Amino acid sequence: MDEKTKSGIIHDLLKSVKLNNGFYLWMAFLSVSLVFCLTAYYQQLTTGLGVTGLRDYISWGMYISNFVFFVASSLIGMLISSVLGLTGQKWITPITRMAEIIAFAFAAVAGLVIVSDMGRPERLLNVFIHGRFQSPILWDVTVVTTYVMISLLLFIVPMVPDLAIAYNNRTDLPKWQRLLYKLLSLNWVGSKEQKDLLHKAIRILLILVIPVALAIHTVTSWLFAVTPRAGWNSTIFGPYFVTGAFVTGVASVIIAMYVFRKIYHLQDYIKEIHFDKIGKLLVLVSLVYLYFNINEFLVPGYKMPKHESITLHSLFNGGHAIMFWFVQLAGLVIPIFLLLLKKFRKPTPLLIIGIFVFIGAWLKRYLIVVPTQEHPFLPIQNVPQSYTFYQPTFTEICITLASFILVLIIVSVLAKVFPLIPIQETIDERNNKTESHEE
Amino acid sequence: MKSSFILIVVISLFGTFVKAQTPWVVPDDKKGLLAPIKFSDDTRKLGLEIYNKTCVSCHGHPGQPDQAKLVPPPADPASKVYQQNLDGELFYKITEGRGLMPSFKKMLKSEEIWNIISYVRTFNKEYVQKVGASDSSSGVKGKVTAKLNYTVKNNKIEVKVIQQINKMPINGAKLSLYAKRNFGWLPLDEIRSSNSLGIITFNYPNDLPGDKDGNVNVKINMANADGTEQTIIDTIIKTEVKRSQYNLLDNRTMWNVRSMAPIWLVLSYCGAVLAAWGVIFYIIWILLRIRKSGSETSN
Ligand code: HEC
Repeated sequence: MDEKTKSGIIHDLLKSVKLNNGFYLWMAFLSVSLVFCLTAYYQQLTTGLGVTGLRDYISWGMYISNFVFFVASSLIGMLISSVLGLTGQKWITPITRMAEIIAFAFAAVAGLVIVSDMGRPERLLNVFIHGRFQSPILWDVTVVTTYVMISLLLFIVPMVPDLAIAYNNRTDLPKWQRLLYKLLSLNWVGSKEQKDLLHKAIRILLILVIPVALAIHTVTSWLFAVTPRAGWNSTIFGPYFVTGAFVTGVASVIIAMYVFRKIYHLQDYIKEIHFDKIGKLLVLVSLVYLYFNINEFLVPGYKMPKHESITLHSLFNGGHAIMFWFVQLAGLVIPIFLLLLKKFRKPTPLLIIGIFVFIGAWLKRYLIVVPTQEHPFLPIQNVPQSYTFYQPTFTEICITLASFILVLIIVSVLAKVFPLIPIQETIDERNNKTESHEE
Repeated sequence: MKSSFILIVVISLFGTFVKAQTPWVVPDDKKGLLAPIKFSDDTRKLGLEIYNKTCVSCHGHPGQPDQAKLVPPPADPASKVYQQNLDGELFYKITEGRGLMPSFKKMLKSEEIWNIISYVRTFNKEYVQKVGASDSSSGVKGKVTAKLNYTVKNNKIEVKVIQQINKMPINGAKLSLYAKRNFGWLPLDEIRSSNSLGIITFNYPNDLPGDKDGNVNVKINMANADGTEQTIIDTIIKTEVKRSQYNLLDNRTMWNVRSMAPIWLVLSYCGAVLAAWGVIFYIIWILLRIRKSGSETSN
């Protein structure tokens, strides 16, 4: 199988780019669902945040949990392309672009999710006009914007040679698509000068994205950690969030790998070995995350300081206990043990584990955001019963679903319109391999 | 703000030991008290304003079931139980308070209380007002003048009250002393009665900070017969306890406004943003060079 010719590879990897009926149907389904969910947003916009379960005490709920989750998921671009890429891991080639697409989609929609948490979204600009340098909210908005831009560049720039290939090889595509390829391929002819410049740009981007990605999620964690509240008042929140982000991100990539491999018939390019490798990667990042979880809960749990004990008990054996232990066990501990065995690192079992980790990761964000607010320092008094707990409403769930649909739309379009697996790199790599075989 | 402050104080003071809900009996001599003013649209309007500021947090909006859940419950002013109170009974209950119902005699002037009553009576269709004698509100007949004397040495405030018309000293006037603080008037010392020379001596605390020059705004209230108080002196005395005017907002700090952000923070933020976006624009510039180089080659 490895002995595919260059034109064979090009043919294989460009097969998916033509929009087909399946794609249209899928997009139609997503659009209709999106419109349905957006009517919920219209309701929120016209009636106010009262249509959500958010009240004075618990004013951050599903939206903010979802925001944290999205930012977390977007960190995967940095992990795969930069950390693994710069350390010379070769197996990541077929999934780098997928990771970049996921990173870009989640980061871009994360910004919108924040807006959905605002009762008066038309005041968004005030963050910039009146934003205080002292406020993590300003840092967050800044760094999210920056990260979206870098992710977009990291998606497009390495793709330039592939776009030239696509432009030259798929003359049958509709005009707009060819025009798009032509524009974005930047007159690529593959000269030495161009290659050097491109290489330089990619290298700089891969380095730049590391601090920015660390910043984006560290700052997100600071939104919580700079307040002295039980459950948030933690010095390890930055690394705790970042390592958690890798777990989420790897799980999303696993799901994407499985799905695209199936529908684009990429079995020759995304092989079992890739699942095996990313399964091992998931074990690694989960172990690191588990380590942070143990620190985050065992240390205060051992001391049980009075003001924190209420929140901790609500997690360990109170109202949130079922979710908490589900997240820790089904989303972290059990996957680690299973993935140590080779047979669970095959595509289908890995997919199922990935889905559990993904769901666990989402719930985990909810557990970070909500329970703390249920136990403020000053007792909750003289307020209606509904203020004392948080229960997301149907409207809220719809709006949150809308953000997921939006991510799916972005991922589907980018993965359809552009070649999903790097073509030039695949060719280069296989050439290198055969060359070294011949030696 | 005011009402929630009262709420907290009152609840913590009384909430623990008032349990049984006994009927609230108003002494007979207070029941018949009548408003010295004729209720009008003006008084009702003023009353509504005070009600919304001071009472609504517990008694809710008249006619709506949004009263605070306290024991015993604060009655809805539109309810029958509430309205069957005579004007004098309402006045007494509002001035004296009981349990969780605060005493408003130090908070509100008697006209203000009458304004509230005139407002809540709009929820009673059968109500017809009887107006009382006009000077019944003052314990001391006629206008009063008073003089205040503060001696720094022994920290005493001496007040002399006399009738305005005949300059006769008033015996037995009940006065109280307050100092103005950030959040309202702080009662100092206890209620004291004037002697036959019309003189009262208050103990002034020696550690109460004034402003940066040691100035303190104090007032003297005199008790009226209806239990409310009227202010007879409101003045500034110069004490020796000066407050250092050190304002936390004068420095560049984390909690300050944007223009007072710490310099290092502004520099770090701007530096990081400039660096990241500088690199991004540099990348875009490289991309433009790739494009240019390609068009040259293909030509
Ligand atoms: C901290 C809460 C609170 C505030 C503020 C408050 N009240 Fe009350 N009020 C109560 C409670 C509790 C009762 C019942 C007291 C009892 O029966 O022992 C009550 C009783 C009364 C009553 C007697 C009702 C009856 O059934 O006879 C009147 C009149 C009244 N309040 C008027 C007022 C007015 C006027 C104000 C505003 C100036 C006010 N209250 C502010 C809590 C409050």
